[in-house]
Amino acid sequence: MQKHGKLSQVFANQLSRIYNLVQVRKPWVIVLLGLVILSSIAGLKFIKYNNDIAVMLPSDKNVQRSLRFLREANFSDKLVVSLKLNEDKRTTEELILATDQFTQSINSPLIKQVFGNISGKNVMSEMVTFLKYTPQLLGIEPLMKLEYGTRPDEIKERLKFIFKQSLSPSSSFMMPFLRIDPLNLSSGILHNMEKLSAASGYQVLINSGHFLSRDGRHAMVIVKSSVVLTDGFGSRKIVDYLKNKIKELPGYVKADIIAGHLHTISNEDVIKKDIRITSIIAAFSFLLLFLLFFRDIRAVIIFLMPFVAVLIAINISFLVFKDLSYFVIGMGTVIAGIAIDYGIYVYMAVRKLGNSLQTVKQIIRPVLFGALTTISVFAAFFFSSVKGYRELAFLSNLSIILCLLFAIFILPHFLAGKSSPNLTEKDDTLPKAHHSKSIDLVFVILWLLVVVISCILGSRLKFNNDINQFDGTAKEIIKSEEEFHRVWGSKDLPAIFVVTAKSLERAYELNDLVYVDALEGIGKDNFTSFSSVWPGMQARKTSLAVWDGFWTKEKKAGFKKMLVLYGKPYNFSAGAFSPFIDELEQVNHLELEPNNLTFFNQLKDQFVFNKPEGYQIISFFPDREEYITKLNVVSNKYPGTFLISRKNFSRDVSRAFTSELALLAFIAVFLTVALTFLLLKNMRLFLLAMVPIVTSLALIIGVLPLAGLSLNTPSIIAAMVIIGVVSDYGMFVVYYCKYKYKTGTYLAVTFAALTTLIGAGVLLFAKHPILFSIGVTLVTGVAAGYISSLLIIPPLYRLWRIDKENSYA
Amino acid sequence: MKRFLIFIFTVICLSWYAAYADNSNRDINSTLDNLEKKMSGIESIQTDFVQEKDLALFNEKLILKGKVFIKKPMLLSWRVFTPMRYSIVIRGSTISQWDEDTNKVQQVSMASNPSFQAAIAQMQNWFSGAYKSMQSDYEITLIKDNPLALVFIPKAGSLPQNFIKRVEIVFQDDLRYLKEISISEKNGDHTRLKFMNTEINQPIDAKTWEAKSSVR
Repeated sequence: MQKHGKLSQVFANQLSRIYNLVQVRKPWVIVLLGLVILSSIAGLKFIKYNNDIAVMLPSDKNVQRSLRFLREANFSDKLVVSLKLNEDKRTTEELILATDQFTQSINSPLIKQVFGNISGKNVMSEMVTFLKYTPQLLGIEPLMKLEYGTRPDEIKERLKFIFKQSLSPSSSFMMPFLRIDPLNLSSGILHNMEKLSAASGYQVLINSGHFLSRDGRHAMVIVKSSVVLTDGFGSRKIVDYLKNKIKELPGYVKADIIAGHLHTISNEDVIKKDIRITSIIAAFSFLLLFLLFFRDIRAVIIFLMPFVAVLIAINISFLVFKDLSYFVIGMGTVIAGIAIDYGIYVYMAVRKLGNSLQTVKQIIRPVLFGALTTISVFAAFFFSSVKGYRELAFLSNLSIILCLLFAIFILPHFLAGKSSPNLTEKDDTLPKAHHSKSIDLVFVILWLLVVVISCILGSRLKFNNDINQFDGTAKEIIKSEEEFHRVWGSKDLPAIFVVTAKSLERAYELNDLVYVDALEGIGKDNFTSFSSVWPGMQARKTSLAVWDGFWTKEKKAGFKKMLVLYGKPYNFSAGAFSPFIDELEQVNHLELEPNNLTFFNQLKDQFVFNKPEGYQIISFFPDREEYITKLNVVSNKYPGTFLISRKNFSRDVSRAFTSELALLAFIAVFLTVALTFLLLKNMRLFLLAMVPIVTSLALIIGVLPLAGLSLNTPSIIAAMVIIGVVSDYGMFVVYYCKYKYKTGTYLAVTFAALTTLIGAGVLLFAKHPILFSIGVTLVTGVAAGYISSLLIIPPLYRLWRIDKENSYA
Repeated sequence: MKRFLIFIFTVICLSWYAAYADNSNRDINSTLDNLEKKMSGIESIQTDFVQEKDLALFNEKLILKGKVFIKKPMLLSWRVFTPMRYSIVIRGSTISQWDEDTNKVQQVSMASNPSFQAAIAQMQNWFSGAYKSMQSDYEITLIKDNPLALVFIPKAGSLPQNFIKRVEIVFQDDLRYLKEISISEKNGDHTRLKFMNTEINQPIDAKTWEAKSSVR
């Protein structure tokens, strides 16, 4: 106790020393502060902002691996342009000409390649060459059927089929294939190849080598860029470039760009606009509030304090973190709304009691503890693995500390000279009107009812972990994408199974093992793997051994005879199937990959990636819960493999957040509770101070489902911030009930709540879903905490007969 | 002096060539424009055909006789009567095939069969007269005015270059439709398709668009 008293004395002495120092050096303090403000304003120009969603996600291994993969994947640098004929009388041919005009006009260092049509150089002859690998690629099962396929009846049927194909108008395309593969052994390989080509899911028709939609009214151009979609600056440049090129198209062709780059730009624009609008509304509302209610020009200082604090804090935070998340900057108005509270408490006290050190000493304890609870909530985020939350913790706490220092040491000196013009004792005696026990009871019962009903409504609250809810992309872009998917299909993006290995050979082997297990787990139709077209060396070696074992000398001779004999009715020539016969006589060699086959390399580029750390081979499957569960088992069996799926990603994020938020919430609640108890040093008073926290949380879980919203990570974070903010209201009101200092507590709490509500309320105007979600939670929580502080704590205090003075007559 | 004369001769030759090249470009473009204009009014075609196929697969020429029906925007029916009854019908992105031997209709989706798609798209282009859009794939030359005859040589790197060496198209005198198409393939195969009794914008029996039907 004695130790505690000593500490208080030391603190009081220090407070007096600094307070007096500022009083004496007032001009120097003003100059210094002015310089800091000017430097901070200038510093804003040099701050680098980051709009990458990754900074708001946990550093969980799976989450970060998925993000890294998506960022480095070869589709993160592609943009699709969908061209559309917008006049009925225009023909597909005109669309093709416009597409060619568009692709030929593109020439920018930002663009590596443009695919508007199939570069078909040697593709047919390459395909025929590739079929020479058939003996290696068939696999054991089709080879087992060879015996059946070379029976006389089967050969007769096949030859009849080949003859019928020659009646088709497109027979010239098929002839080379029919001649090199009369037994149709490669149909499985060709089918798998087509399946791989269509793995993106787009329904494309090829016309004159161009990618056209089924109705022939749309053409697709794929632009490969040097800009990855997370690069906001580069994204803007390339999109602007393409938009200018689109303007050059004939009037009857409209074009939409479909790319992740647009989401990056749009999110950045939406957040920037939100920050601008919310800051203006907040600043205007704050100013209006102070000037109208306080009717004192000095109130402008309180208004300026949080903005100056946030301004300085942004600069210092940038120096610490090297860049700042837009989402964190977006919270600026909320932080300002919270940080302004301490200035209000001091202002009210000084106006009531004068600007003496004694006045500051009377309010320093609740102000300090109020700030400490809020700081402790934000400080909990320092324990987070999410970079954005650590930025938020730093920025918020620095702003609050700066505001607190301004409020205690600087503000009182600027309020000197005038007595309070408007405030009287009457202004601050709100609870006296309700000094009837029955009215107090009614208030408490109503409060209990509201809390219970909210909790019941809260049972309908759902947790939404879908990462897409944080995508604030503009509606026009979403509309274009919907139209794009309507025309081209592929609305549901497939999930990806990734195999990694140090060497390409090992990656192919591992891919084979995964393919076999995946087929067993989810079926051939659901798993698109490069292994189905090009397996590893071991698998091909086995296949080749079976092939060579089957084609004995006698078998070959018998087969040739049958071709000649059964081909006679159709007048087939002696050399009709010479390409196949010649291949039968060749000795097959095993190679890691076919050499110089452009079409193979193009196909491979979609599935096999050469990374600095080794090789990655990807396979596609439908992003469904049951497949993910089954393939997770496969992935766990083979180290170096993992899944990338939107559903899995959401689940990983959710799991990482759940474990992290549990710890953060515990730290925040523990510190708030401990500090409140330390200030009040009385269990009953402490429990009363908890009333706004309980009310806020109950109302949040009740109001969110009523508003049609679900609980998400940002709203949980906002709820934690609310605990820190409304605990201040509870502390101040309980402190007032107990000590009766005439420091304008009720009015101060009212203004503090109003400013926080303005700071949070402006987020309701935000278009970005993260900021909006935070706004709804904060407004509900702060409003509930404030009302319960003023209307419920005093009646409970009296009903609980904590002291005689406040008991009923 | 001799050098000077050679120089003058070269300049004259180059000027002639430049003038000729310019004229021939203008000629082919105006010819294609004219053709497209003539054929743009065509909503449907039905015509008999005889197709001679000189393929490495056969000892002798294979001669097909049949009828082809085309209706804009995406309907095509190819019906062979001899040597065997066979039909293929394309409705949008769906292909149906039938033959008298199996008497079964087989359906294929074009979207899931890119090689077939490419083949059919080429064929539709030849039949539709939309040759201007084919200039990205072919070098087109006017070889005769009366009757009009065009030669198409695939450009290097284009898809048709894989299998086609040369295509020659001869038009009917009134330019309203094709008279003959000759396709020389890279592997030495050769196909000649002659059209007779061509009817333009005449009603077509709805059953024509079913692969298995007795329409003739």
